[in-house]
Amino acid sequence: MIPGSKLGKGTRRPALWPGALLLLLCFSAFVLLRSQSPEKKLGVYSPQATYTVSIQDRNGVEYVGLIDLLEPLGKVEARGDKNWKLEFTPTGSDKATELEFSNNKRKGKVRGAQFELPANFLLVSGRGYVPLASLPNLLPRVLELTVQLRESGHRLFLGAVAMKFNAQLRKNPSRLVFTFPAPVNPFLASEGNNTRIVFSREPVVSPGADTINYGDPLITSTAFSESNGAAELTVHGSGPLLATFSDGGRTLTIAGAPQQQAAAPPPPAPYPQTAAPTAEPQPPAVTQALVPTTPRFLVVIDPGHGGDERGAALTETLAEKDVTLAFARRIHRELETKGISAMLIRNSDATLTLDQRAIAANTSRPAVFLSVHASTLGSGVRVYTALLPPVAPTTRSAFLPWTSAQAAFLDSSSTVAGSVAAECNNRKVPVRAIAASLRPLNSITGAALSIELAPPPESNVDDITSEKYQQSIASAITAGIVAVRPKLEAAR
Amino acid sequence: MIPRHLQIAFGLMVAVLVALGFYAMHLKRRADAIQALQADMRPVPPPVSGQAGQLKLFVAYDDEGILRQRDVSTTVPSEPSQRARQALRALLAVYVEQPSPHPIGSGADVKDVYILADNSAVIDMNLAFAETHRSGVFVEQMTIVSMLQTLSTAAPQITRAHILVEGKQRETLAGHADLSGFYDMALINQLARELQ
Repeated sequence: MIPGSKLGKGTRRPALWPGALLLLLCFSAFVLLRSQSPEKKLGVYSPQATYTVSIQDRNGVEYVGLIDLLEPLGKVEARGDKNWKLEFTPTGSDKATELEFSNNKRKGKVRGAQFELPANFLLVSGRGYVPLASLPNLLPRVLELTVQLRESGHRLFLGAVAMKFNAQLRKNPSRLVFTFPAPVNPFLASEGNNTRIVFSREPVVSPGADTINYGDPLITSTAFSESNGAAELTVHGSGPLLATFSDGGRTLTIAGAPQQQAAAPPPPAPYPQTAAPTAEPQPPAVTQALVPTTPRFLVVIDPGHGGDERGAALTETLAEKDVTLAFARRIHRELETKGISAMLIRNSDATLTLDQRAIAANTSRPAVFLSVHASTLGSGVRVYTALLPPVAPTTRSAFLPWTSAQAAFLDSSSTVAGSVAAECNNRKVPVRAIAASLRPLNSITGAALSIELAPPPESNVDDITSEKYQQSIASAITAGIVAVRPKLEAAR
Repeated sequence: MIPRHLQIAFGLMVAVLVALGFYAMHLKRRADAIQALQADMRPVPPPVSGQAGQLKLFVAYDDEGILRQRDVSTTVPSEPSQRARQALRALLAVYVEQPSPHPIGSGADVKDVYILADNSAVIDMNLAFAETHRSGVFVEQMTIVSMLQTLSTAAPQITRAHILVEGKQRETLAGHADLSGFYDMALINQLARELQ
């Protein structure tokens, strides 16, 4: 017995607090994990493509995956465990650059020369991650382009792609005219008397000061900000504002709503049941114009599987989830090149349920939804439409059954599938169009098809990743969609 | 007063105990799953009763990507659900033999087929059927169409069918083909014609 201690006397009950502390720690960890902030992402703008890459927080440092970052810009081959090597060949070039890093080490090599990262290199599941802050020094050596990182806004500009806009306040009546060097397609939303213009795809940057005060009775000020891979322009007004596009999307005019300019009695409200005027009336016409909008013709691409869900094992080392992501990015680039707005449901190795994919797609109101898969069986491409009993468009109700919502859109889906199959045939790519019962295809409210990529004819399985092969099919899919775009737009 | 080092040691032991508990649970689950799979690696049992006759099977051929009709001589039960189960077992027997036109896991089996009063059918497959199935849209689709078309021929009154695995609904067969709802047999008949 220890002198002076009360152990062994049997007069005290054992302390319960260690157990309670453990439970408290478990609870705290659970709460912390549950209340994680939304996914951080880096918006990347380059002459070839605009895309986003996930940002991971490790030990208080922001990291990005090198494969995710470079894959849309060319061919990437990564290998090695302890000494991780990545070979990058830009699209349209045969000159490869080699990067070499070791897990948990700062020092590495780029093109054979020593390179030191501001924090340790990380290797997770065979994928290399570098600190976000290292990109302005690292990428110019790899891409041979000027690189500008706006770290606080998580935006990365590769080459001279930044787009400065011009804002001019005009009088009688008061209106703010924004002019852009290229067409833009931002997300618009109204919050009270303010209009938010969010640029998630365009490399829009501020021409000078971020905040400008106009001293106008209607349009008081504008504020430009950047966060989480997007830029946002907020126009503050003293009354409801109306946004209109002109000049093929190059000009955006913010003006007062018609009721604000007219001194005389307001026009009759089209919806009498909502007419009770308040201190700040929101006329239906204006509200409708400023309701959050999505692009008129948007293609949503869903790379199948991802994260914990690897899909088919195409080879011992090649998972379906990686092929679908690379191929989906190619289709995305090809569509954007042809002037069609496109969106990827996942642009990183993220785990998503089938319902999450359908919800994300339907929320974007796509003109076309493409679900991408890959297989080693057969060759060429298989194009699937939903195996559902068709429903005539006239019998569509306001609510559609979740598991068979696609039935009301089968005509449009078949039109797109036929067009894509025809374009594949034109390019001598073996193609087969059939019906299949697949999710999330069955729940999509718009033209929807699934593309299953198989290896090229008379080749081995590894050729499924061939850049040339995937590019020819991505071009065929894009051409197929472009060909039926007028028909789909008319149907919408 | 309990010394601080004993308190810390106690806390660590509790943490280790909890972790070991979870690990033991994980090992038990894995062992159970392996045992379940091994239990299914058995030959397809013969039908209980019936007369000798022929059943039409719709066999998937992966190389050509088509379905072919094949007649097999076997015992044909007169009761529709038993006949349907016998036809599906005969089809799976074609798929598990070597060489196979459409390989599936050797332990795959039909546990039961239920035909309901509204002419809906519920096919209960074993775990090995789904767990060992190859992954891919086309390969999964071919399995389902060949099974349902064979079922439809064995019991033509069936208007729709649902595939369960070990009596439970499953989201997909092997990551692609939907198993969450009923298949419309009229659509399956049409698709099977296109695939022949």
